[in-house]
Amino acid sequence: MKKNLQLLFMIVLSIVASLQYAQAQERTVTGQVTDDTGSSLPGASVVLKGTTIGTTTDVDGNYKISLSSGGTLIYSFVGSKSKEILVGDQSIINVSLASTVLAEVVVTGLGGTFDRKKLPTTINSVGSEDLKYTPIVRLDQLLQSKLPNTQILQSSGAPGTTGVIRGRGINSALKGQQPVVYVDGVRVDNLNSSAGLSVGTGGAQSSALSDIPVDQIDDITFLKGGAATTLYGSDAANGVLLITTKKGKAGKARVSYTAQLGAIEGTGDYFVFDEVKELGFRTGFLNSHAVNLSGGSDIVTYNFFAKYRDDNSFQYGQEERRYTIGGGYNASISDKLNYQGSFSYISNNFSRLPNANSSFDRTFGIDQGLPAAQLGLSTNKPSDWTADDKEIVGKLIRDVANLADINTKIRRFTNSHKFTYDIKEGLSLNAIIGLDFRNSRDQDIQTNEYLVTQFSVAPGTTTEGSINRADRNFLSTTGTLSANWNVDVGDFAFNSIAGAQFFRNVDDQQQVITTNQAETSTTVNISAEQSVTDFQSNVTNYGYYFSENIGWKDKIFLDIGFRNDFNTAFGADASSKLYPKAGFAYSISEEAFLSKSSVLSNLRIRGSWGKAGNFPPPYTRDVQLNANPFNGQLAFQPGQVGSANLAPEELTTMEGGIDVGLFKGKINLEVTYYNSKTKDALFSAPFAPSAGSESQVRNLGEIENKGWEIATRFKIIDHDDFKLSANLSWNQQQNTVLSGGGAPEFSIGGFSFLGSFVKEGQSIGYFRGSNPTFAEDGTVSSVEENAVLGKPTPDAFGSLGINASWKNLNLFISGDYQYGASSVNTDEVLRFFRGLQDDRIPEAALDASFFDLAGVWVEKTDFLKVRNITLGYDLGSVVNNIGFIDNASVSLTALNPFNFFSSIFDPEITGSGAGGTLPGTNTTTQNAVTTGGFGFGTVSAPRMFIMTVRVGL
Amino acid sequence: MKKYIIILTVSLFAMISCEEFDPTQDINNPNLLLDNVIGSPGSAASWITGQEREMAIVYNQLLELTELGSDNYMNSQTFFNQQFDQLNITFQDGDVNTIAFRIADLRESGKIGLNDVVPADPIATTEQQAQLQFYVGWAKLLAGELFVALPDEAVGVPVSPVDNLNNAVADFLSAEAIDDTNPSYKLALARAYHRLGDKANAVLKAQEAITLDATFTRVVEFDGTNGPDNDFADGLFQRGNFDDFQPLPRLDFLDPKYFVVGDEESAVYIQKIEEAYLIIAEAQLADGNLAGAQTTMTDLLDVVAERGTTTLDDAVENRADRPTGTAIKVRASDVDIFKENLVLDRTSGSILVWNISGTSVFSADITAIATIPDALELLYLLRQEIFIAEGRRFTDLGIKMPISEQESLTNMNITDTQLLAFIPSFVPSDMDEFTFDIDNNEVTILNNMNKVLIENRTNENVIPFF
Repeated sequence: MKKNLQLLFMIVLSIVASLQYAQAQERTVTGQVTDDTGSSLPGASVVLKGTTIGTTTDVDGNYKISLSSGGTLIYSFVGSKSKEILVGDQSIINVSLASTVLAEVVVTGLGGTFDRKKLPTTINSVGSEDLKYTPIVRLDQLLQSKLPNTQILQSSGAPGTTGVIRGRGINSALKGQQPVVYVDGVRVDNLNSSAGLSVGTGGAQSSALSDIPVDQIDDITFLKGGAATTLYGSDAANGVLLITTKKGKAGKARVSYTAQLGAIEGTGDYFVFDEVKELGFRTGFLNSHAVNLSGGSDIVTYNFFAKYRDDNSFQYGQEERRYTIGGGYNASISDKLNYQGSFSYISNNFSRLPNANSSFDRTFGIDQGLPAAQLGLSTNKPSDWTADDKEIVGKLIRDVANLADINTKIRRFTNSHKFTYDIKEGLSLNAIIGLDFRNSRDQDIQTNEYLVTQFSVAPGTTTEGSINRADRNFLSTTGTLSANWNVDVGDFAFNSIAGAQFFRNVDDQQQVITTNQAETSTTVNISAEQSVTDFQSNVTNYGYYFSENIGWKDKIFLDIGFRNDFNTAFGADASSKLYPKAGFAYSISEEAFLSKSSVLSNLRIRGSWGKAGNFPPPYTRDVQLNANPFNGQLAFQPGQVGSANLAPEELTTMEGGIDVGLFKGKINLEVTYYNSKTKDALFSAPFAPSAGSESQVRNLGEIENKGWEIATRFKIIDHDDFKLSANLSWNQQQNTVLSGGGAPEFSIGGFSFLGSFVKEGQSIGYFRGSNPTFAEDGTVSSVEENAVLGKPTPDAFGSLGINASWKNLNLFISGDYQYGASSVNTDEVLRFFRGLQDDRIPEAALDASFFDLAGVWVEKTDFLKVRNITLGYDLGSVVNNIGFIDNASVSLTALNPFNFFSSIFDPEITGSGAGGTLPGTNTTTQNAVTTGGFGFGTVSAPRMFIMTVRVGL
Repeated sequence: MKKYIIILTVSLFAMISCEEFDPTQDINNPNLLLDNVIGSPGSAASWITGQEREMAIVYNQLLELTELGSDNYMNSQTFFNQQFDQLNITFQDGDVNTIAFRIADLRESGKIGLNDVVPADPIATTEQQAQLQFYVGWAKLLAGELFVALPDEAVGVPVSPVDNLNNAVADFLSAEAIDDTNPSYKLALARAYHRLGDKANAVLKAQEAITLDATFTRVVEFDGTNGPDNDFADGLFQRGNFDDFQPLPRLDFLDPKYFVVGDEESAVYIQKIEEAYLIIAEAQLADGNLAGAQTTMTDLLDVVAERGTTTLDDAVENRADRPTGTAIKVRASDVDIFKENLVLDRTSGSILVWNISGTSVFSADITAIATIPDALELLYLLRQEIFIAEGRRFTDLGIKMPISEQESLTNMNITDTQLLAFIPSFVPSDMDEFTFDIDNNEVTILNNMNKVLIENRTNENVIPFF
């Protein structure tokens, strides 16, 4: 591969060289581009009309362009009106570009692109400028701390995983909370749990979100479920994440090379015994190289990239290697027809070790008490280990790392095509078509040698080898056709959108498990027996929508619309589903009595009401048999009883808020109150056991999420050379199951002695178990059975950040926090089993049933974590005149450097699954609700120290 | 012209992509729908296989609870149920709900098989009908043996143990009426009659079973490749994922009853002819016929001896904190005598395990008995040893599970008393406790539960023929 990379780099360089050569220098035009206030505009585009010849301005807004003859130069900059100037015989042309947009423009997907002030809902977006100094690895890490009203929990640090993403609470007791994701208008795989068929490694849940291409993001917008996502219909209750990729800027071909080198340090913050880190961790190495090529003319622009990344982890035996290639382009096919396209291909390979939810995990097992007698240790208490003990454990960990063979290979191809046809001024037709194809293979090869090493079988065993292989092919196709009509009539401005959209997901999985696999063989054919399972989950959703935004004098806006959806997962007797929305926004600061205010620069009130849905898992509507192989025969058993009226969950959100800007935008405040109710909530609730019927997904429940969202931004210092800004958010939330629809409470995860349950009046996934009271002598004096022991969702969470710059030096710090949630310290339960418990249980109660003691293991999980500290330096003019280097930057980043937390384990990680089977059934599922709250089963996100060097040619 | 070329090109794009963008493609449910099965040839056979698979699920759940809820095994270090181990059996226990659901599932799917599947299957046989009747009866038998009461229909009125057992008898008689040569139905009837205290019918059916097949067994098999697995084997033998069940030291020589070799998991014997002898001997003792009982018990030892043994490598099992090794002597209580050879040495690898049934009782022990109570205690030791890990001891101790919380929340017919487990007053919660004198290699079990049972033999909840 290394050779391939070299080859690729050579090709890119040769393209650049040829382009440079083509631009034979005959004359030079220089100048400066400024905005209408006279401030320089760095990064403005200067292109010779009708050609690909062009350049961009430097940090001071200066440019230099070589032309073989005269012509017209086009000057453009985001947020400014483009200007065309005939060169004639001028050699210096200074240009001032008038600002076109005072308000911020946001992308709302199917709803079009709007000035933020026109929208009745809050919308969070992250632009490429915000991502400039972020070492991008995964989508969740990229968004963490950057979306003020969304919580992203790093539930695992294992390769191929992604955090739990939560917006406004947990609105389903059945389905996962991750938003749907669109890349350039195409819906992509957002499976955020282990697939229906997968290889379990303990607690780490693989996620398709971890390999969504994030390297070329121009803009990310998050629409929270409700009125903001009504146009997305039955798929949008959890919100919609819209990713727009870069399509290049007009100008000469620009090549940039980015290298990242880093050290990966497993965090020891969360262990009771330091020996976990001492014996199980090493310093890992991150190594990443990316090449980017972009440029274009006023007709065609392009942006191509290729990237290689290798992360060999802080744990022996784990590694992740990723290759990405992709591009985005824009072409004006004619005066009226425009085309935008993008594609990406990712090949991702990673290996994992058994996690802490497996007795085969020997690293985190240290913290839970390894079986001393079996391993030949003097004690299972690591702090009392002798040098010999440490040698035994250290050798076992390395042997396991060498012999374990658990790996995943992912290949993913995503593309999008968008055609825009301008029928006339203000009226256009849009068509988007695209697909996401993701193939993944999990494989766990267990040799006899490995099993002997793990003390799982007796030495000399030769018949217990196995291969467990799970393949998943996922194809999502998306098509959208819409018409946009923008017209002003007097004081009124109408923005109308009508369209139709469909997507189809085909999810096809197969798993093969062999027994008595011949040693060293890696094909399933060489085994005594093979068993095969498959899992299919296909669904088509299609609907039409209409949206109207009416503005009056550019200060009062009314927003109404609807979507009507059909979905193949709806029950046979269920009709199509209508989702309406309505909202208003009023920019009071536009009124004459406030427009002159020196204090109040912005004052806006807004309110909205809207619905969005969550379609049921495919096939849960049907009366099915469970048909399984059983000792070579086909076994029929009654299965799900079906539901002909099965409908999507219906989320109705009401929100109201106020946006305030003070002192010319130096202080910005967004305050929102929301109330979201999920009606017809899908519960896989049990029937009476005497019915002998499996649970059935039914529209039974009602769930409420409500709370306050407050986001603030402060521009503390805004001088030319020194800038300092800060942001802080606080999101209070309350989650309650309002109605269980007559069904008894039911479990959605956890253990039989302490589980996550759904019950009327409680938060979804609240912890249920026995709660002991201890007498003075330390014995258990009483036990409250089935007590409410806590909840996994926080009372409040938020993010904070500081951004400081002095000339070309930039410092960025971000973090987030939560309080009011709880989690189960499962590690401590295991230590209790092994006699390594702390003093939370009195001596006299140690022989009590651990079922009775459950309550002692639920801990508060308040935390404040600093996620990212980055110091960046833009070498700009320093390198401007060095050879062919145009610009360069260097940055140093520390990821996850500081953790402050109340529990004695990582409050974020969770081993509580989201795959497996629907509660109370044999129906395989995936993407099930993940409330979290079981603190073990997987590794924590490591600390990383990364140096990034970016060189532009 | 250019305009038309563009329109043509875009149209071609759309047409070529049609296949993948066809919204009706691949959306049908690939699973099996009930309507597609009713009436198809061979559906009855697959339905019976389904019942066998359901039995594997039932027993996988049942064994864990009933064995922990007896003196046979203790839960040393597992996520399996610990409340049963301490006889803290509550209606809120999720496992109580699960086993009630599984029993109902066995019954209801048997009924669907009888009412819908068999009549519509053109190649169904009367033997298949009898088999399904047997499974329906077996569900009721388990309900009668294990629960204080349990509905026998969806959200129905709870049925008492006696009525559940009588209903089971009716189903077994229906099966027997179709196929009179199947010893399984005879033995099932003997078991149900025994529990009902119907000595004459129990002995009659036990004898008929012996006559039909003197080595008869019926098993619940597991499928190590496709599941369901025998999790109890995991607790006894493999001990993955923190599973660790430990037997009472006096029963150590019978462990592991279940084990796994490759993907072959031990089956569970739900019926074996040994039970017929145990029933007949108990009836004989109830009739005061000591000599007859001694003969029957000696015959039983012959049956057990014929079952043979298997050599097994059990070195993986880690028993660091439990008595282990052949030097250990065990007594059933502090008033009993120490016995040797009850605890095996597993560290060296190979051990001998009994196939189907095993016992520490010798014929000399039987002939040495002089009184009915002593004979009855020995008979119940035989019962305990022969039935170990088969889910029978729980019922022999007279313990019954309550109706579950989930049933009570959805079924208006449940009374408060039915939400209480029944544990005879003479059954202590520390049944599997013992003391271990490491210096002298002597183990003394706290309670000799067989003696306790015999002392309370007239109690209506235990030893049905007394």
